[in-house]
Amino acid sequence: MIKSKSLLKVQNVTILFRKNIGVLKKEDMIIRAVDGISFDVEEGEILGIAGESGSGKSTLAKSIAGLLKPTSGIILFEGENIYEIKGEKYRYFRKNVQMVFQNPFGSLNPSMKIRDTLKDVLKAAKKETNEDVLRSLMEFVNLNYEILDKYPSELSGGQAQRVAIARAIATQPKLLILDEPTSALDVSVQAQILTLLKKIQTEKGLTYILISHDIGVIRYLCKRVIVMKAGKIVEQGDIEDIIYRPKEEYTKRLVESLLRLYGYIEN
Amino acid sequence: MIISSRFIREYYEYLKKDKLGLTGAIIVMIFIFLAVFAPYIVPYPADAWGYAYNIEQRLQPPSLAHPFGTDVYGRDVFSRVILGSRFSLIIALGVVSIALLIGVVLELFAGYLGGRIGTFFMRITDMFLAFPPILLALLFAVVIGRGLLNLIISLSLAWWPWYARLTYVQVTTVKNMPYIDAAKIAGINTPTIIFKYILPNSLTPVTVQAFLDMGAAILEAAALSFIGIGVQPPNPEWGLMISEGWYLIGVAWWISIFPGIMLFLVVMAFNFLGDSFREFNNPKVRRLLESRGI
Amino acid sequence: METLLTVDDLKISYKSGNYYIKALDGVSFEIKEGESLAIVGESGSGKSTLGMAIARLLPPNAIIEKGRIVMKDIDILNSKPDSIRGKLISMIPQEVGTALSPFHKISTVFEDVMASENKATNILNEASKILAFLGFKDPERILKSYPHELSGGMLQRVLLALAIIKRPYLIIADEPTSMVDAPLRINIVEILNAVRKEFNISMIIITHDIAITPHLCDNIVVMYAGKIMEYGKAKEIIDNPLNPYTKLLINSIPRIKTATRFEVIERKNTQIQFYKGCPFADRCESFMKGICDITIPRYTSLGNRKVLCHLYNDKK
Repeated sequence: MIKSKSLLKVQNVTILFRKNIGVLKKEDMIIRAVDGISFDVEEGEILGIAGESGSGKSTLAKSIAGLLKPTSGIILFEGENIYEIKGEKYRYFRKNVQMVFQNPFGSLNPSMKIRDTLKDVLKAAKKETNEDVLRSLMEFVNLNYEILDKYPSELSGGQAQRVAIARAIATQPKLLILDEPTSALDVSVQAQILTLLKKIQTEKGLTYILISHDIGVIRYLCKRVIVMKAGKIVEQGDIEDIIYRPKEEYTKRLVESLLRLYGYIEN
Repeated sequence: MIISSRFIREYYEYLKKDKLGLTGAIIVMIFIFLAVFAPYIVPYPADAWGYAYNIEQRLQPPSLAHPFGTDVYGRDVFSRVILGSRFSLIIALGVVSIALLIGVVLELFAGYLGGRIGTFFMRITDMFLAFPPILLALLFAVVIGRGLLNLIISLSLAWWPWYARLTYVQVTTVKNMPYIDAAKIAGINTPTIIFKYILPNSLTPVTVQAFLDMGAAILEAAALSFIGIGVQPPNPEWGLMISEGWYLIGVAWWISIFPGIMLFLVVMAFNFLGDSFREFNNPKVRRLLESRGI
Repeated sequence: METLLTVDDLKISYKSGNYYIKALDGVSFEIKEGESLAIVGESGSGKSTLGMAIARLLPPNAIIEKGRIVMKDIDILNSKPDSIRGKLISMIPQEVGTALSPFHKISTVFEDVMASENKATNILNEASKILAFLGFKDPERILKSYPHELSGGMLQRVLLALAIIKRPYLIIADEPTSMVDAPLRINIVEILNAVRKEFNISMIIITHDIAITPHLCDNIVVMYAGKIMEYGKAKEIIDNPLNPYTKLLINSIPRIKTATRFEVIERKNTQIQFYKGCPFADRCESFMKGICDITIPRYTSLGNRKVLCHLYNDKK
């Protein structure tokens, strides 16, 4: 295979869910969560995936993270099919693709202290787990060291999401998948988290896939964006083009209504 | 664990208002105290253990020297009833913890693996669940023989499917939580995920349930001892004592009645405590208590 | 215009074990007849508590320490909840999916709601008229369906119709635009505005999204930590926020047209005693040591604006 600059290649990925809707007899309904999607992500890029709830963007994220094998199609990370690699290569993939979830509390083990959560992750990646490493991680996400000895339920939403980000960057990955990282947070906290994410990206040169329903959030972080609807890509391209020169009917309607709704603060 | 000091403190606050639950808690605490210290506080320890025979003092009605009277062999019923709490506590703890261990371990794997293996284990569990536990325990007790240890084993074998069911439900919920996905993505290995991430977060409902079941375990053990296939004489188990005095109920009622009352009180206390605990754990009530509101 | 609702120095706490958590800390405002007011704030600001207090829907562990809510000479907090809900005030819940019983047809719900009224008019006729006004093309079909057959947006309109049918003076909507996508949000805004005009009903919109309030509301109450930080006309506040918290709130919204540059304050004024000073002091960009951390600011009136901030206290 010819070596390309692209870090991740998604080729013709379709993910189907079977849902039993029959009351007495077996009657299946097939839901096409992701429907034949292809795109590339280049190293160092921030790709935005925009779409309303139910557009299949979170399912796609799970699949890229290696948690959900697509029904058909392949996902390549540095040229290797992530659902076929084993052993050392698999560990390499695991270490290099990390994810931040929407619900910061749901993504932290409620019965473990933050210190132990982070230690487990570092151990799994065969990294040092001493106090200095933990502290520098906390410093990186602007948290006090005291947080290390707390349980997730004792944190605020913003703090919990910072911990989740610290965990995701602990293994020093190349690709970070951000699945609605701020939609469960208050706007003022969202602004802080977005600033932090931007800082991390510039400092570490990470590649991001940012999934969000909020065009404003995508606008803040991304240059290239994919708009999804009902499992399909509606339109993709430069974020400025999507906002100022949308081609497809759906994108036009979406941007137009957003601009109308937020008209008072936009001007 | 969710059962933390804060949890206990909040439950204590709740108990203060729940009179029935408080009554249950007090009786249970007295029961545990008696079970632990019985041999040192009863007036006639030898009578209590059952190896002293005072034929000249047999069948005496309650008096100052023998508050609950004496039995056929002239043993002090009061001492025996008090020591009986130790047997009941051992049975309750033994049955519940063995059943808990079998149920939790089995369904932890079944629940995590899911698919065909999960279904297979669940069907086996369902087969057990189809019979009343007392009937199964009776069957096992007849097969493996009498005695305290065998009683505990046969009751546990009949008991675990209830905990299995509960664990299974909990594990299937927990394994779909985002933090399990997060752990997988971080590359944490499967045994660690099962024991460190899923197990602690699945245990609370089943341990609460096990605690509530102690009263029932005591009652069923007493039933098996009553029909003669449980604890053997001369040990002072309540069910056994009731059966020992049963044929004399017209002549010396105290032999059966006092262990009966004790059994009744302890089982009732566990049930009161259980109800209040369940009410406290009820999501609606919890939410009210926890509502840092706003 | 006549005053419809007066909230006067309302203080509410939640009891949790031995702790009392302050939810509302001396809130006062007024709503005129036909006016629409937005209560804006982040989680923990007390905006939902305020809404629930007005609709008499507070959970049992809420304690009203002080204050009054008066509507049309009726003391809301000391009346029977049944005499208020529906007739004087209706509430549209945020979770529309679980707000209706899955076993009952929509028509049954309308009949149940109107069961206490001895009206000669045909309830279902009235209901379908309102549903048609809310944009349903085939109201009869909606009345015959079960909740699970309707989409979230449709359910929301059904709940709105249920809120209107008794013709209350006031409707409280809890986050009416939070769960739906942008084109539908515009639709909801338009419908709410039309309802307000047609039926002359006042509205309280509880929301975390300050950006959309000018479309829906005349005035805004910005809340933080149980206090009203700023009160005024929606458009004026968005154009020129006076309180630093309001400023932060508006500046935190990622813009679509122009690339945003957040001015995020990472500074943590940690040594502040919360109980003594301004509740926002630890996050405030205009934090003044020796003032903000020691005394609670007073309200300052600037025209029709009311601001709670030390910055304006001495300018009076």
